[in-house]
Amino acid sequence: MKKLIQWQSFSNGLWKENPVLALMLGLCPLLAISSSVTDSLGMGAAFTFVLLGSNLMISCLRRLVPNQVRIPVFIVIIATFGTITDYTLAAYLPELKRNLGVFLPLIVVNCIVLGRAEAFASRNNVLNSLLDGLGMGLGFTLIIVLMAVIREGLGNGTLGPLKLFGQNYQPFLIMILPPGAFLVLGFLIALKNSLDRRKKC
Amino acid sequence: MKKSELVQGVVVLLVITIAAGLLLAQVYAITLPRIEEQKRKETENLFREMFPEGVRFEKEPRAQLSVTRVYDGQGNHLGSIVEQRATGYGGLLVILVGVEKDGAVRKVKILQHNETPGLGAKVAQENFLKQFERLGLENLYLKSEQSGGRIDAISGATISSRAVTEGVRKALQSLLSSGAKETSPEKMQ
Amino acid sequence: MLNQLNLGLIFLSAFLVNNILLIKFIALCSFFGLSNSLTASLGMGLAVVFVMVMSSSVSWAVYHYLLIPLHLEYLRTATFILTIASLVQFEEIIIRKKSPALYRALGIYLPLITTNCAILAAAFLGIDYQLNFVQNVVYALGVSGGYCLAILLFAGLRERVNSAPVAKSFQGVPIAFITASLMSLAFLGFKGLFKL
Repeated sequence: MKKLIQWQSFSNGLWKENPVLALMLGLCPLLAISSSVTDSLGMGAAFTFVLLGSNLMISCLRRLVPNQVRIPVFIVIIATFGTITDYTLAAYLPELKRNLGVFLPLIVVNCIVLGRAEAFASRNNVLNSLLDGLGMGLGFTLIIVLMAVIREGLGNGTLGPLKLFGQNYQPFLIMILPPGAFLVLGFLIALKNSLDRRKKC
Repeated sequence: MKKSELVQGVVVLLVITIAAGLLLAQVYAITLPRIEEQKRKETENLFREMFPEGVRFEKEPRAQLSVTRVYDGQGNHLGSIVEQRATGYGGLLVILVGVEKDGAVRKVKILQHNETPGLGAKVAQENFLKQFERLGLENLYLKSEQSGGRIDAISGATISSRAVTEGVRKALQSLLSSGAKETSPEKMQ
Repeated sequence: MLNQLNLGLIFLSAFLVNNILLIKFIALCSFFGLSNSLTASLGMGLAVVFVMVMSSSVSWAVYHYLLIPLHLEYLRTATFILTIASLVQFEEIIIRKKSPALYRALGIYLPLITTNCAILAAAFLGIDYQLNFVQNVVYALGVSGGYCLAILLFAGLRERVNSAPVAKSFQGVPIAFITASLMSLAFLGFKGLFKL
């Protein structure tokens, strides 16, 4: 029984309550960064780290924080983890930090992080909160990398350092430009909708 | 009852904020030296790529121009590197131009650009930038636009190609006109 | 870069060329969340203009006169978001007292704004682009104006799309994304609008 709940905390984020496809949250970094597979992996990792850290802290402190000040406390905790990620990347992976740009500090106001803090971590024990953070983080990473594979693959003919189609490929440019981001995500959500509907029938 | 709850809330918030501030100060203190080191290394690596034999890179303060002079181990002047801003299709372009002692272009690099991916962004690739090597002022035009020009524009991205070409020419021009003493001996030490 | 342009171009660049919603991809949650209705979009758009100009001016002052002299740049994220949150609360109280009509129009959107990442992003970007105070105000006006423009146009389009026959799996959100994609394509055309 306990195992089941833990598994659910983790797996919820991957598909059923996937933060992107089902809850429509965290769209900004998703659309902006997904033009490159490498950057997407970096963003996913940074995002998962912040989510894990803030879920852990908030779950630990959940009995100590009075109700009225809980949102400011959440924000301070999330901002702290966001800034730690920001500086660590600047020190060790400056190129990634430059490519992620303003979206790195913006993780702080990312609705997924604050949403999980409020809806899950402030009500559940440490282990489940960690699993929830991990599931949501991986769910986000999964989608952003999937989008990046489609966008960079078609739009640039590459996957990171890998060349896909050889010399004569004329890239499907629109895919790595902003409109391509909206287009790919639209089709992905439609795909999830139709799969979910088929399952119900 | 209500008042004490409020006081407790404020105290908790305060404690957490102070703890977060102290933690961040620690992280900042640890990462700052590395961040600065990374920044320094990054430009230095670019300079090294342009002048592999260079040992000393000296930034020269001039009003209009950002110039770095390059010397080898014996203090011989090898050439200069000019940082030039130009305007491309998507906005600002920052170009780094390495210039030989004799006034020809040695190497061109793009430090920063905002051109359309897949089209204008190709100006930052080696294929395009290679064309500039060993050219002098009179050749720094697009082939299609001036008879002496030696630069092939990237098809579909003439504006970006022209912006880079003009930027390189301007950099060279201002270096040559301001640095009449480009090869003068008293600067060598 | 941006800080070397004149004020008119800074405005245009933020308003159209680098539109915060369609080109920069910031604040999309509210873009898709609210654009179902034209009135809600208008309310949110105006509230964003109002708050963004104020908050990015205040954040600018806090950063340049408080954080830099005290060498506390690393507290930027935390300070900005708390500044914005308290400023929004403050503005809400003032508006409720001074202008009940305005409060009725914008009131419910004000609390939502704290989590609208456009506000925080505009404050960050103004600092990153090294704008001076006046440029920063114009930049915030441009960004928020662009937000308003995009969300209103989009809400109009969505009302029209809602009455169109759409394949079942695409109904609702997916078709909204595809509409946004076409709009973004149009905004991409502004890119060659001016030479710096």
